[in-house]
Amino acid sequence: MKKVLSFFLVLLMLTSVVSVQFYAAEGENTVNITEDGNYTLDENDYDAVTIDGVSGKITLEDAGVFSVGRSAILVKGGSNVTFVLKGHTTIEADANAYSCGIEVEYGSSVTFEGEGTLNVTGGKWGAAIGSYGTDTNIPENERVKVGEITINSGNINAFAGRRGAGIGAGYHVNGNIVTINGGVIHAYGNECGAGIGCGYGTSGGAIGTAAVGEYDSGKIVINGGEVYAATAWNQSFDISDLAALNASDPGSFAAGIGGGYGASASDIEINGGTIIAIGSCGGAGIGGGRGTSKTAQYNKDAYKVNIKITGNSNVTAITADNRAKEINSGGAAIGSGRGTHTGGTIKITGNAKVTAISATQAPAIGASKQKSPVDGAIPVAELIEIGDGVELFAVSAGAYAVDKDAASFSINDNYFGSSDRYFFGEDAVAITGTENIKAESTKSEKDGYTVPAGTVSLWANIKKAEIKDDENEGGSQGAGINKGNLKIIAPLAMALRFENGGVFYSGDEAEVDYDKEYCFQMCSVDWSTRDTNGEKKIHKPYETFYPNDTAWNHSSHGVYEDETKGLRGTVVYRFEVSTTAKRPSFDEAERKFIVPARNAVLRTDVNKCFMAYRFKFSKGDYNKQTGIDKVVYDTGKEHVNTLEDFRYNKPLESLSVNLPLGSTVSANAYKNYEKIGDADVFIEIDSEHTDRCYTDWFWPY
Amino acid sequence: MKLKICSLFLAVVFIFSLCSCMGVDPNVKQKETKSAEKYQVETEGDNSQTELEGFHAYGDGFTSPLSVKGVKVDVEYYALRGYELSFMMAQTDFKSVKGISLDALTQYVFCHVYFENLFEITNKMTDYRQATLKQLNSVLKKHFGETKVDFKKSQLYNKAKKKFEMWVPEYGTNVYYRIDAADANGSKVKIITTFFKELKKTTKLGRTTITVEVKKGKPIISSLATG
Repeated sequence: MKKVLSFFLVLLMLTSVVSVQFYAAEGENTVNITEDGNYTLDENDYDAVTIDGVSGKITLEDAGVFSVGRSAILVKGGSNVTFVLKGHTTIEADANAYSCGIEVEYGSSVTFEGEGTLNVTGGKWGAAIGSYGTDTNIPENERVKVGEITINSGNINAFAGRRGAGIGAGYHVNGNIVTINGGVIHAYGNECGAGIGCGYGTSGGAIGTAAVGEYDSGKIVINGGEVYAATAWNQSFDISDLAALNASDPGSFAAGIGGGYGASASDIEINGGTIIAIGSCGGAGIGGGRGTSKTAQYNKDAYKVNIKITGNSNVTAITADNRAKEINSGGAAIGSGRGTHTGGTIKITGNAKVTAISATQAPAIGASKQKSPVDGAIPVAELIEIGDGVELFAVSAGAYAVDKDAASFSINDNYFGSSDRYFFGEDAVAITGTENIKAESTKSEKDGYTVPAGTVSLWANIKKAEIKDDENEGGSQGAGINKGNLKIIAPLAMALRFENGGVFYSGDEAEVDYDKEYCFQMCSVDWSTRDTNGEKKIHKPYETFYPNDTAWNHSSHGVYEDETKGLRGTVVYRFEVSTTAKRPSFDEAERKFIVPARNAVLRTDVNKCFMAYRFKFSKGDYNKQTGIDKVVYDTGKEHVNTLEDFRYNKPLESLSVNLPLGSTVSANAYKNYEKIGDADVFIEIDSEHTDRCYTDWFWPY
Repeated sequence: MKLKICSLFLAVVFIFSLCSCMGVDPNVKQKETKSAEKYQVETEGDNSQTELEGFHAYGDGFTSPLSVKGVKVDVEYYALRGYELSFMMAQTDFKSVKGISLDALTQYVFCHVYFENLFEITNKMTDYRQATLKQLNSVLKKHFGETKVDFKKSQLYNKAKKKFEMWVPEYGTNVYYRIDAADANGSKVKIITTFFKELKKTTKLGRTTITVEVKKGKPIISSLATG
């Protein structure tokens, strides 16, 4: 009550000195703040708030701001404001007026912090937080620009108005600077607007006069937090489903993080945090928006894509299209949108863990493969760099997962050891058609926002159709059910051995009791195995995604058997399929996985569940190999062809093997396929790089 | 004269035959007695052993205990510890317990909480086990005379449950070895052992030199080298 009174007094004082905005339809409970200081918007409902030339903190505590004819909160006049989030605040702009939920004029800056929740919705052509629209027809000095936005903490759900970005710029406006250092952020673009970045740029003439590439998403920096950014039309977003696209609408043509339709993404930098970004209908997951096929409507000098992902960031980028007719012409998961001439530069370094999924026939990382509007050539990226510490899963429905044709291309060799989630090479063209993408009705609601009718979920977990039968589908949901099937995902060439001795390979399902703790250990399989035809085979990196493929049964994963085949570790891991958990988690202190029953998938591919030992030769001779007793065949020339097959006929300089912690391997070194030495190696975490899942081990040769 | 020459010739033939039977090359000078007291030389091993069911150690050579400062040092026991550390834990060279990988040391100590000989662990024993810090420290002190190791930083420590836990490794194997020498020098005993891949001991697996020191009236592992 005291707060209400104090604020009311402030309100009276301030309204007397602030001029009425020419476009604003001021209501009875309109607040104008023009002096520096700290203020609180409490549990009242407000018609609008203007903050003009102010430095200070504005606490949003269970407030509601619902504007008519203007932005709900307008920050202007060089203000530098920190919004402190407490409780649950809702801010909505007028959907019929050019407006934002929180409008940040150019020259002003806003910062969000606190532990509360903010639901904010933009108006017509407007971002939820940022700017509304403008047009190049308007003289440049009169065009709308956007200020700077920083998020340090808090729970922010930002829903753009039509053609706006969730966080960033509105229709036909360049982005400025968006910095995210923490918090849990859900940002949804709308009608050709990006989740985070800029809104609808241009379609190359159909709307507006700018050419594709001339609008840009500005500088986007993510240093931490959980960020879920998607573009969608009347979108909704369920965390566990990763993406939700409305089946009855044509999609959004924009990036999850980056450019809106027709816009560049010249400066995206991700240094940390957990990020899931989904673009659709030709827009990249992270990168540029969809372009055009028309030369005259494309500005080749303006369209830019520059993306840096580094640090310990955990990034999932998806490009999707729920319209089957465009499966062959999408944007990249990380890179450029459809209808552009370049994939730009993409640098993924540090210890980033990156999952890039293209559910279209564009590469997961690189340039969209529709013909360039400039010269009709198939576009490529200018540079793709994947650093040694990167754990990468890249998969495409119909192209190289990573665009190997990039003008400058370097990639680590971790795919073999550090992850079972990497497609590379022609074999990546293995998933075709939308039937391979699992879709089902979204069942949940979030924070009071009802999922639009007809919404379908597009799962990131791309798999061959019919992996689960109907009985299992329904078996992992709902109260009163005590057991169900747990799907197991294991790292490449590894298996899980349960307490009762049962061995499970990637793709297997185990029937488990809900809310019961199980112990297991990690095992390396014996790579050399025979399939049902008696032909000796070694499984390939992508195989783990096809557990039910009749051509590759369990034996083609390699087999673990106590004493005879493979190795097992000593570290104890646990899991529990929980009927209450909403999302999967891993408790490092206990080494325990919590798996929600509604999506019971145990993914053991995390750091410290295994170590990928990369056996290297100090003297760098390309004609040397390593074998490991009971794991990798090491008996000489008769197996060399198989190993060559495994590495696509490339000679082995080094060999990287996923090995369980606490095991001791007997390794043998070969030169020209003749044994030249051996060594025992105890498998442990690299004490100098405890956040890595690989260790380099050097032969002295 | 002829008889003398004949007798001498027969004597030479007899000596050579005897040497040959004993497996001693008469052209190689044997170590002197003085040296042998300190550095006892192994005679050729007895290969008459036969393999038993299960996992066992098949050793010969200088297997007798030594007495250092009145303390009995079980040479065979420490030769086998050398095997465990070198071949099972891959800790081939260390000059003190600090030179052993923490994770390997924890695992070695943990295993010895439950098993006297790691090579005797059969597949049926490779189940889940727990241990306390006190138990680990007790074994550490017995083997290395040390207690200042931060086991809680190892990969076997469960910080949430505040205990050590492990799937017992599949260490079961027969160990074939010959203790070549035991060098007692002051309070230390240097035990040189050659390990083989099979009972007949023709294919070498490797050779370890483990140094045992008598400290505070008890023998402890001091260092290890593998050649």
